[in-house]
Amino acid sequence: MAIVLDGIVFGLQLSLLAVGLTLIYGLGGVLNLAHGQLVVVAGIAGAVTISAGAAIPVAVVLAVAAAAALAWLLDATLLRPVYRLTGERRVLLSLLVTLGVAFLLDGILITTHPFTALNLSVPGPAIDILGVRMRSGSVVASIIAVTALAAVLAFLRLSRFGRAVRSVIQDEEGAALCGVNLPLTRTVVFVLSGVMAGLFAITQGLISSVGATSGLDFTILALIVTVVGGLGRVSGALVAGLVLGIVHAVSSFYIGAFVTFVILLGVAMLTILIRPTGIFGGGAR
Amino acid sequence: MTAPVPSADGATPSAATCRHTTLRAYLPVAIAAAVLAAVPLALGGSGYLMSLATTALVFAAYAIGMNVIFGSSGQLFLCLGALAGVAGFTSVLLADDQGWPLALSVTTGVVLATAIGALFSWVAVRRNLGVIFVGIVTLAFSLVFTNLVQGLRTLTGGETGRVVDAGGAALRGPISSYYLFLGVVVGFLALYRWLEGSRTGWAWRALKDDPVAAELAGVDVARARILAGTIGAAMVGLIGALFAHHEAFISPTSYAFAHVDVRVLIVIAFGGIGSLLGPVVGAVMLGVIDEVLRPLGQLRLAVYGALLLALFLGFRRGVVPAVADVVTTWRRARTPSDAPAAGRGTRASKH
Amino acid sequence: MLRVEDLYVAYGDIEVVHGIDVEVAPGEVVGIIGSNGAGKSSLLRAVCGLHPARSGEIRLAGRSIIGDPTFRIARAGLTYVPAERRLFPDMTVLDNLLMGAYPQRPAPGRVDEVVALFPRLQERRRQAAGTLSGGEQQMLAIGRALLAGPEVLVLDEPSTGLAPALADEVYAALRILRDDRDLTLILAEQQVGRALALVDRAYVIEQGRVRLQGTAAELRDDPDVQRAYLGIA
Repeated sequence: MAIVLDGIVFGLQLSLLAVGLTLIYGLGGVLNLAHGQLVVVAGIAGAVTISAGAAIPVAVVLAVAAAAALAWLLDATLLRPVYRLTGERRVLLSLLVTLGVAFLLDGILITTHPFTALNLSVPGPAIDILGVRMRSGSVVASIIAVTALAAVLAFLRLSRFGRAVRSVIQDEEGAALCGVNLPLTRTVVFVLSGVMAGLFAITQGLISSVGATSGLDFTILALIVTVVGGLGRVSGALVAGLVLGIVHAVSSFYIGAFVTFVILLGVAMLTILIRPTGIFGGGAR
Repeated sequence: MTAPVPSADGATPSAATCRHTTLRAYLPVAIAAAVLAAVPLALGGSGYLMSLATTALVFAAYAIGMNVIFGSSGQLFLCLGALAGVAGFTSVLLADDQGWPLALSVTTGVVLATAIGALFSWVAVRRNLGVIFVGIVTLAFSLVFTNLVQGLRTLTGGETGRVVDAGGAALRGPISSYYLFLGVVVGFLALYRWLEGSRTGWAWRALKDDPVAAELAGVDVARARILAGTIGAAMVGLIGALFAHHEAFISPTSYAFAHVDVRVLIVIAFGGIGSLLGPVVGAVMLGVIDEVLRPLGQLRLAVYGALLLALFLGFRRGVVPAVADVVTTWRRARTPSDAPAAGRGTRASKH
Repeated sequence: MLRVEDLYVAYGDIEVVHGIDVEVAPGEVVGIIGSNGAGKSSLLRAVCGLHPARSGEIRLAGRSIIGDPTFRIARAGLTYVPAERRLFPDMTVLDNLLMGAYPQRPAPGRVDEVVALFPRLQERRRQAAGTLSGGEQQMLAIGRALLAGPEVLVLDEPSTGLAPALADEVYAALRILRDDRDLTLILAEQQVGRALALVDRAYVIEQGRVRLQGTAAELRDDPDVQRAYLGIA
């Protein structure tokens, strides 16, 4: 039971990480292979702020802001030529460009901050949930993740702008004909995905830590969840995140961490080979 | 290094594409071979420089493989390192642990890598997977490979790697191994050139222009794609296996995504995707950059990232073709009668 | 209201529209007729900014809109309904309609007004647009466009792919719209007989050029039009 609960916490985190990636892909056909680096940038920004003596809330805000700012910068500069292409060409160039960004940031961060890592310990005793003791850090992380996911869902389902975002995902040209400002929508969603990545960094800092070398790992995790949930499908990413989080926890406990990673990768590969639209995609987006 | 100059010239071979029978089509390959064969003389037998030159050849060979897979048929394989590694580890395990003869173990390794490449291609074609899904599946395979190698410590030596015994003098000597890898590269170039002129090459060009139209025109698009994946994987596997025996050491690092795939992308982007001699030029450039950046340590990653960005955003068709274009127009401007110049566009065109 | 001057449109190296002039007065109902591949859609896609024009001028209410992005042209009051409809298949009919009014908040009751025009949509308000029949999708596409409250409504082949009975139903709704004199209507159609029965005036496009223009009555009586488009020998 404790393992499943751990799995759910990790699953919520995975959803948080994957929703941003899947939204960007759905919206602009851009697969952001530098997504994990957004997390790392947030983590390092937070850690640096804390070591400079700032209060934790300030560091948290700055961390999230750093990821959001980087996301905005990417969208406003390097991805502009990508958006000018259409279809497969856009996807391909986006992959290559963001891969370049990932390595660029990795190289810089690993060199300049080799030993910096974000660690946010929450004081206070473990909390009993359903008879299982949970570390208070995990509880806070879950609350953050649930709140953020609920907010994103509400935004997409209920707000006028959220409806516009969904319309762009379904038909870019149709949305433009309805008067939706595509570049602005993309920018807003890109920044949103940066915020989500930043929040993920906070939750990760609460549970373990975020260091300079983990960027690619985070990207891959997000990618696995996104693929299993169906590329571009928000609800799919939510469900897939939870399921894979539980699988991850159970499998790590009984089999071991490295096999677990291989299993997750295998699930993603099989998903593509068997049902490229995703396992948990369903009809609703 | 003197290699890039003539190769850059050779990167603008004309005509050839349609007339595959003429030996002239192979002239650029022959020139490149001759120039590269002279490199050891120029380097004066320095062991260190020779090893750099050999590494450049290895990357040129990887890049030719990538050109076959990605350049001709648009399949984005992000698992070149893993394919090479599969062949390398298979061959080393068979030769060293099972006592198989070197040639047989290398062959087995190559066959395995080829089979995997063919499988990916086949599935991609059958399931009609777009570039993104092919990219993700192959990237996932890369990571599965790395994780398995690190996990199966007793067999592979884990992260630290293991010493390779099987090899032989030809593969180990600085000069002889250079010529051995040169032989492979020239062989690959000739094969690539031959493929370009064949029906398959014609199908590749057609499907690159417009897969739907190609299909309608009676081109067997599926066959052309699978063939590309298979041949390319075989090339990459061969180099991966030979490299392990040449180095006398094998570790997941030499086949890692960051080490092989990212750098091969830089090489083909520099040389021009789908151009004949681009891989050679690109690999030489990469060798020089590697050497210059050696003191930077991890910051090299950042430079690779920046290069990838700059090359794919700035020179979508490759630096060499772009420079060739400039040279051509400049020459045309000077001597208007000098007509036959750039035929490169047919292959490198990505617009 | 809308004025197109000497417009050239090309896809890559292939020019498909070679200098077309079209002028539409406020409240007018104008047809752009011609066979498949004549350049009608290319002309209209250029007008609404979905495809860049090579050269020429396009003015909406006197203001140049050439080179503007599609969403800005839509917000300026020109709404285009493409032949392929471009609905949002996984969103409900209601959400699709609301998207039509995206830039502003839709006036209360506006949705009901539009639905009254297409009663079939009423029963399907909560259904996903992708599950509608072809005719219903066309009605939804027109309804969505109407919710934008356009000054110029541009319809591209509204009868495409529809059974004649459904096409009749769509055209019945268009006749109601025709009588709304605040709305300028431009209709591209290859079913020339249908179009000429609806419009005040029309341009006949052939091979990317305006071949003929005139009032609906003039064109109906033109022997060339009769022979080429109306099947009258």
